[in-house]
Amino acid sequence: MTDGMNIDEIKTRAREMFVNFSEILGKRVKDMDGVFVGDVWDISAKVGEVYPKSDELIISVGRFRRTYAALQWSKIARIEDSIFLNVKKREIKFSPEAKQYEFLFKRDVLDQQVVDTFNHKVRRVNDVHFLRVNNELVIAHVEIGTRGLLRRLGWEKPVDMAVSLVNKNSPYLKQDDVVSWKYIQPVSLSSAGMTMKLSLTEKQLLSIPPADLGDMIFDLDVNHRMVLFRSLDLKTKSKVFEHLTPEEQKTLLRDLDKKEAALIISHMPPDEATDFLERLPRASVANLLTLVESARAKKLSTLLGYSSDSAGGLMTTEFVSVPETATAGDAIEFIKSKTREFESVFYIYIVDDKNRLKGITAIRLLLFAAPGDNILKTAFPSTVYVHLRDSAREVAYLMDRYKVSAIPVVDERKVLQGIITSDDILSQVIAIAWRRRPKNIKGV
Amino acid sequence: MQSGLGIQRRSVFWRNLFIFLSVMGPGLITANVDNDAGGITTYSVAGAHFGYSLLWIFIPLAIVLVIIQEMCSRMGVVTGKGLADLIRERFGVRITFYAMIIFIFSNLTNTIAEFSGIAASCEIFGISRYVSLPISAVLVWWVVVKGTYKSVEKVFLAACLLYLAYVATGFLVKPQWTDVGLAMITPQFSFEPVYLLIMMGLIGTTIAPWMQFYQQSSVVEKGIKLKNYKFARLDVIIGGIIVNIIAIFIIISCAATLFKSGIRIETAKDAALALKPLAGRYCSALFAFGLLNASLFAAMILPLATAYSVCEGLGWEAGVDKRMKEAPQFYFLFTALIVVGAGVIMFPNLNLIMVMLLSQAANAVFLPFVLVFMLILINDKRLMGDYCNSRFYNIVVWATVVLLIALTTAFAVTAFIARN
Repeated sequence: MTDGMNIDEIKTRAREMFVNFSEILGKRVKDMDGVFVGDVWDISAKVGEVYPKSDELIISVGRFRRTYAALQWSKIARIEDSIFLNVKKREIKFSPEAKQYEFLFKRDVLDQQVVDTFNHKVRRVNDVHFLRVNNELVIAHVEIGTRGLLRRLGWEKPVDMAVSLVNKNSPYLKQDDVVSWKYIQPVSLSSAGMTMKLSLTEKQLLSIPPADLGDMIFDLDVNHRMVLFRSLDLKTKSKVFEHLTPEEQKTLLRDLDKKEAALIISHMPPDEATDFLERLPRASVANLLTLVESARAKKLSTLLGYSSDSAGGLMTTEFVSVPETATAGDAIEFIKSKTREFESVFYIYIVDDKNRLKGITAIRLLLFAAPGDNILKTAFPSTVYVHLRDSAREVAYLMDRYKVSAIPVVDERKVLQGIITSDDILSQVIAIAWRRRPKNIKGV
Repeated sequence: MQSGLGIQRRSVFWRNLFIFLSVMGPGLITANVDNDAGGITTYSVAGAHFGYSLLWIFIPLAIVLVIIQEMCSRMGVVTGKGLADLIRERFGVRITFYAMIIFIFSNLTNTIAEFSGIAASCEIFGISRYVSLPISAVLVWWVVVKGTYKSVEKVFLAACLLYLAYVATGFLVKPQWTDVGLAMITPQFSFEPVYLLIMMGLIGTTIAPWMQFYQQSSVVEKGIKLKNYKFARLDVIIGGIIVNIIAIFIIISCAATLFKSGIRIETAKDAALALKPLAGRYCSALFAFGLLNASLFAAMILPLATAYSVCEGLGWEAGVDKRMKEAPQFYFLFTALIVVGAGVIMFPNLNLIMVMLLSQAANAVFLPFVLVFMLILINDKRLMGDYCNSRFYNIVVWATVVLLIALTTAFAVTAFIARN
């Protein structure tokens, strides 16, 4: 105890540094002589800062014919049980309409939905914590837990007491469910129109895994959903789209224009794109494919020809094949130049001049081979493959038996058509096991 | 270029029809769920006890129903949010919380009514309520949680065609159509407590509070665009008219059979007799089947819609695609509503008809609260922009609020006087 403060005192001091917005909202505003001026209505802030700071205090009087006044923060003397101003009441002008603000804490944050980029969820804000810096308030956290809810209902103390009677060490008492403001993206629409205020950089949104981002987008209401989705770049859009459930994809597609949809489809891995297209009516598929770049469209329509649970329907056309005449060095160079955008590259398929499968090799094997070696020398001793019409079950059986993470698919003449990767077959197997689309199961 | 124009007009017609079919649904489904156990019972009792004398109420009721449902669709389309969301964002957590408590309570009484409908219809088939209730409760829970509800919805909707039996009966009994017509346009009123109670029941069952939440959520979920809004309005109008036509025919059938021969409805079996002119000795089975379908349908929708709305408003995770650990409040509420709803009916010797009737009268008590919220929200320029209510709408809905409160007070006062 060198500075003479005990732990409790430190705790109290720390608590004094923070103030809940809900407490401020209940306060009365008095002028320098202690005369009642009005009630706190809202607090405005300047946008653009990472942690917005209180800018103006908006007060209101009257219940049915409410009038409003805005006060610069410098006019606030101190915040205690009431808020005291350093001006006189008659200096304050009230008007029947509140000024237009870009950002208001109550209107845009409290009780509103926000995007929590830390927990990857859409949340409703139960309270806002301000940090007191001199006389000013700086937003620090938003509270999303039950305790904030109870506090605003005025039940925090009785519930705390009840809980501590049952279990003194209950996690409920120890922690507040708060999220730092830097992870929060408010989504409220400004009165001017449907523009979303992006106070965060999109980088934070992009750090969220696409599957979670998709869930979050669908936790928002329709208007915000599209705004958020549109704010993403094309690559993220297609990644998010790929991870949605078929119903969600359909819902989103309805709101996208055709060109946008076509762009997204061409950026999806071919097998995922076919999965999606398969569920659409024929007419709209044809419609969409005309807008997709022609080589890609051709590939997709070929894939669409196979039934979805056969090897042909499961496969992707994203794979690396090299001619049997190539050397290991050629192959490595080829991989470096071609596969930047591929989902994964495990194996390299060796084909003859008619594109018939001759052998399979792996990157690891190539790396250990001498650059001048013929590629066939690095190939696995046995070549495991499946036919276009083989069922998902057979594919899964073979992949498990030979412990490969991808298997090539060939036609009757042994011409290489595509590959099936383990994650594609895994979703099939899970679907069979759960009798449900795997993407509906969260947290697996 | 006469023919060219004709073709153009024709293709516009087809296009409009196509858009209407794609937008259609929320209004019609809500309307059909509206004819639930409480609805059928209340209409039957009204016809059996008071003949045609309550028919006049349906013209103003249809107008108010369409107006209120239209407000919900409009709010859904313009804001893209559910009613509970809007209440939370506009009124804050405290008001939302107490509003949700009232909402849960009101929906619980309706859920109880659905389960008594299930019990009553199964008893006509000779199945004890101690067997039918646990089975149906588990069935309802399972169908919804396993996410198969959407696929059974169509079966329920198709079975709603059973209501046509009442329309057929209405014609078969050959009522004096002049009497019916006259009763439709001649307001009658009585300060008899039972009359007031049944009147409250009629209003409460036709414009149930939960319907507003459900309607708005369905519109939002359907993702109807502002430019197609006029079609959504048509959907609401058609739905509202269908509900009222069926209600009117239930009353005509009951008035022409039960009321005429002095039979009062004590059990569901009595109510079934109204279908005798059409179905003869199969009337009981026909009635029981219709009632069972209506009750099961609504028993699936009500607890789910309640849990959704409450979690929406209070910011808890919701949805049957979430796991129980992710959305504990949602699953708790949903399960509790079913368990309590079915459990209350297990109470021995409970008069099922009375339960269904009272629950609908309770709706009329709760309805003004919902309407006031809706009125404030829909007249908020910031929220609705150019789509605020017209003055006519505001006057009609405020008048409804005042009349409902007056009716409730009148009932309370007369019932109190009658007791002493």
